[in-house]
This record gives sequence, C-alpha cells and structure tokens, in this order.
Amino acid sequence: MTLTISGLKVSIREAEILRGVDLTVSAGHVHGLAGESGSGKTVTGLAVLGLLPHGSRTAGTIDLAGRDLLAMPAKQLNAVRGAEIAMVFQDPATSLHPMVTVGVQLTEHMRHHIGVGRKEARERALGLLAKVRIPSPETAVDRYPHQFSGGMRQRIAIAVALACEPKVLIADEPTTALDVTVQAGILRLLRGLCDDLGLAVLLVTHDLGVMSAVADEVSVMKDGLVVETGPRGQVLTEPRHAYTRALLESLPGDDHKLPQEER
Amino acid sequence: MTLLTIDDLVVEHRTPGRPLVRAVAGASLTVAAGEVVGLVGESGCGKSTLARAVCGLHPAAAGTITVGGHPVTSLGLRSRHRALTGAQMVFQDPYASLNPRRRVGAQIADGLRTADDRTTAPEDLLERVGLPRDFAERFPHEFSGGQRQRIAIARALAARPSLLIGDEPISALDASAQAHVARLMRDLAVESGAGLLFISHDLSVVRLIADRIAVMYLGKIVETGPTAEVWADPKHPYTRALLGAIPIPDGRGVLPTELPGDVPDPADPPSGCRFHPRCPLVMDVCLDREPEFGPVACWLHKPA
Repeated sequence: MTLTISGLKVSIREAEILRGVDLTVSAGHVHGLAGESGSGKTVTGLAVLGLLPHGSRTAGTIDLAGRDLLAMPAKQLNAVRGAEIAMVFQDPATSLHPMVTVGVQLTEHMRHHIGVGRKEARERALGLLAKVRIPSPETAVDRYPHQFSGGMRQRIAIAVALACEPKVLIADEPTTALDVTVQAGILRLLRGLCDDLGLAVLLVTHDLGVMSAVADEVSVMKDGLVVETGPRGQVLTEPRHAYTRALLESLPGDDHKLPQEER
Repeated sequence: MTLLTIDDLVVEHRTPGRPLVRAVAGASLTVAAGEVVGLVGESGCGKSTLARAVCGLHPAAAGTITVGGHPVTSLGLRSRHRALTGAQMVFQDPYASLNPRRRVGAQIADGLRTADDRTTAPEDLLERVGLPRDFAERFPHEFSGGQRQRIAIARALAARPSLLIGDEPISALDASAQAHVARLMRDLAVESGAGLLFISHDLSVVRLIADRIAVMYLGKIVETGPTAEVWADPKHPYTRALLGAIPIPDGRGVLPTELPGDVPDPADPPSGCRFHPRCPLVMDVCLDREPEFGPVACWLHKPA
C-alpha cells in the first residue's frame, strides 16, 4: 500500500506549520524525513494519523489506497488508524501505559480492530514479542513496562504498533532516546520488518546517520516545506539543495561546526 | 592543575530485600582546570552514580574523591563545606531541577549567595547563557526545554564553580537544542577556567566538546584518552563496539553493527573482565582475572 501526501498544508492556531508538503511512501520502503526541529516533520506524521491538535486547519490530500484520510469522517478514520496505519513514538517510557501489562497493551486494539478472541489475541501477542526479539515472550507478556530496559520497551512499542498488521508505520524519532548499541538493534529490526512484511515506513529523524543506515528515500524539510527528495545515496552524497548541504556540513566532523541556532 | 581526582571509587546501592548493587566498582578519573572530560557509556553503567558521588549526593563505599584538594563528604541535611560548593551540577531534566514556584531570577540568586557574590546580578548570568535579561522575572513553565536548561546552567555558574558537572544535561532536550547547550556548557566552563565533567550517552555530542574521553562499562572506566585519539583508534573492544554502532551518514545504507547481549546485572557482575561475555576477542585470561590497569583496561593492551 502506498501513502501519498500531496500539497499538505496545516495551520495550528494562527501559525502556518506545513506549507504544501508532497511525500510518497511505498510498500517495502523506508522513507526518511529529516530536518531540524520546528521544520514540520512531526506534524506531518501526526497529520497522517489525524492526531493534530484540536482546531487545526488542513488543506491538500493524504491518500491511502484511494481514500483521502484528511476528508474521512472521524469514525472511519478510527478504523484506519491503529489498524492500517500505526505509529511508534520517541519515548517508550511515556508511550506505553505504565500500569497495564504488556500483554493487555498488545491485545487491546487487536481485539477491537480485528475482533479476535482473548485466547487467540494472547497467542498473537506472543508471536509479536518473538518477532521483535523479546527474550522469553511467555513471561514478558505478563510484565509491566517498567520491568524492561529502554531498548526492550521500544521493541514492545513497535510490537504494539504491529499488532493489527498495519500497512504503514510512522516512526517518529524511534531511536533518539536510546543508547547507540541499542539503536543499532532497533534499526536492524525496523529494516527487517519493512523488508519481510512489506511495510511502508515513514521514519522521522534528525540523525542523518540513522537515515543513511535504513532509509531508501530521503526527504529534507525546512520551514514547513520539503526542500529536497531523492534516493538516499544521492541526497546524502550529492545534495542538490543548499539547506541539505548545510545540514550535512553541520555534522560533528573535523571542522567542529555546529547546526543552525535553535528557534 | 588537577581539580577533581577520583581514586578507586566504589559506590553501592542498597535496597532492602535486594542484592547489593555496586554501581561504581573501582573507578579512577581526573579532571584538570579548564579541561572538558566526556564520560560515556550505555545506560546503567554507573555514569550518573559517579557524578552524584562527586557532588556528595551518594556516599562513597570505598576510595576517595577530592575536589580542589578537599575530600568530598556526603551531603548533610543543612549545609556543606564551603570548599565543596566549587562543584556544581546541571541535572538531566530541567523540568524537574528548577523550582516551578519560584522566579528564575530568585533561583539564580541562590547560586550567587552561595558564592557570596554581591556584585553580579541574576540578569548578568542570563545574558551569559544567551537569554534576555527580563527573563529573570518569569517562572520556569514559561520556557522551552532548551531555555530551561540554559537557566539551570546559569544557576550552576552563579555559584562560581571550579568544577561543573553535567549529568546527561542534553538528553531531555530537543534534538536541535542538544549541540547548542553542550557547546554553551563547554564555552562557559572553559571561559571561567573551570573543569567540566560532561556525562552523556550521545557520543557524537561528546566528540564535539570533550578534550578527553572516558568510557565506562558496568561500574569501571575501561578506556581513557584524548578524544581525537580514542575516536581515530579505539583500543578497548567495548569502545570499538560503541563507536562501531554509530551510523555514518555516507548514504551507503550500511546498518550499524549490533553489540550482542545485554549489559549484565551489576548486582552479579561476570568474573574476570566485566566485558568478557560480550567481547568478540575474549581470551582465557579474561575469564578469571580482571584487568586493573589503564589507560585501556584490557588484557590485549596491558602496559609493558
């Protein structure tokens, strides 16, 4: 399934956050979305899921298999998100419910969306935990999030996102809160899931190294616009847009330059 | 001049009904005046416990810590020895480390009072960390994470520290603010002639600001050296694994190398070298004898 965003504009209160974003994420591909904070990366992800703050105004289309998600009534959208489109957030410590066992968090929306029974849901949950390589799923499923390390929690959050076998996965800075050694594992997992399940992954990250490791296509955002899109190798080695060059040059290297001043 | 000397420090966490955890198990480290030392390692390796011990927030079970020649004693309920206020800490989460009910200026003034500084105004410090002077009248909730961390840095600097400690001061911040706050801490510390012990799990930022780097694994410092040298030629297998896990933006799509296994339980560390169960180059000697030397605590790099 292909996710196509065209001419997406989003205004929150009086501020124009997105000013016409075009983006295509195809099945089996990881599309990396880079840019500094405030450029609209996260808002793009939230718009796809219909999670924009109340009172936001939108224009343009977000097309998923011939349906426009922006024009969809709330009830229909509820059936799509969580089931066909899922999201992984930056911080697994806050995206998982601290007082509910891993098993319940994995099966809750599975039972709601697919309507599977309690027993089958548990079986599926065990399978998911194994898929994201959590050791001994049988005991893990009855534990609470605080009993896991940060990397394991993010694996669980990914398992929760995959519970209803979505076609599109939006990962917003999924490894930013993790150690590099753990990050390596999560990146391998994401890449593997994308290849094995044919997921379309939109990966939002500020880390061009992460981008280079897993993304097939890369888009660079600045001030609510996509300024450059292209295959990973081209964007990262022969950037056409001046801003992409500036981003690449701002990486800690021998010259010790710093990224642009924060907002 | 050596500002901070940590010698064979041991810090233990005791929880009733649980086995004793040696979070820091014999670590030695020095920080000189005007020097920036980056302490890196995976979460749970004891970096933060070490920093807290330096400030007297955790008692040392064995070993010594001296700041400017004075031994650090555990922080009492009311006051601490004057000489020890020379070590100031910037904590990880500026949402928690600033008092939400007091004005920013008043909190910075606390630091000035500690240093008996009657000439500097809180506004001057705000200016030094790159914030407008009129922020002093406002409350912490009015600011973004990056601004709050700048305020926390201003408060720490107000006490005129000879040693500034940053315990993951950038990990709660937005990605684009991280490098700035790190660079700001470096510049301010070096400018005032203080030493900086900068703790972070983000190696790319440490590389940016540290003169010297210390790599910690399971309560021990396994490698120290000048940042550029360690980066160009990491010697300890753990340092290699850590640096090898950083993805490089070369556009080639190479997935970073994964370090197999998890960090062992510090309550029950492995025998011999603590890294041996995960080490790709493990030898017989590693299983039963701990490498107790530096600058690279590995049997492959035993000093002659």
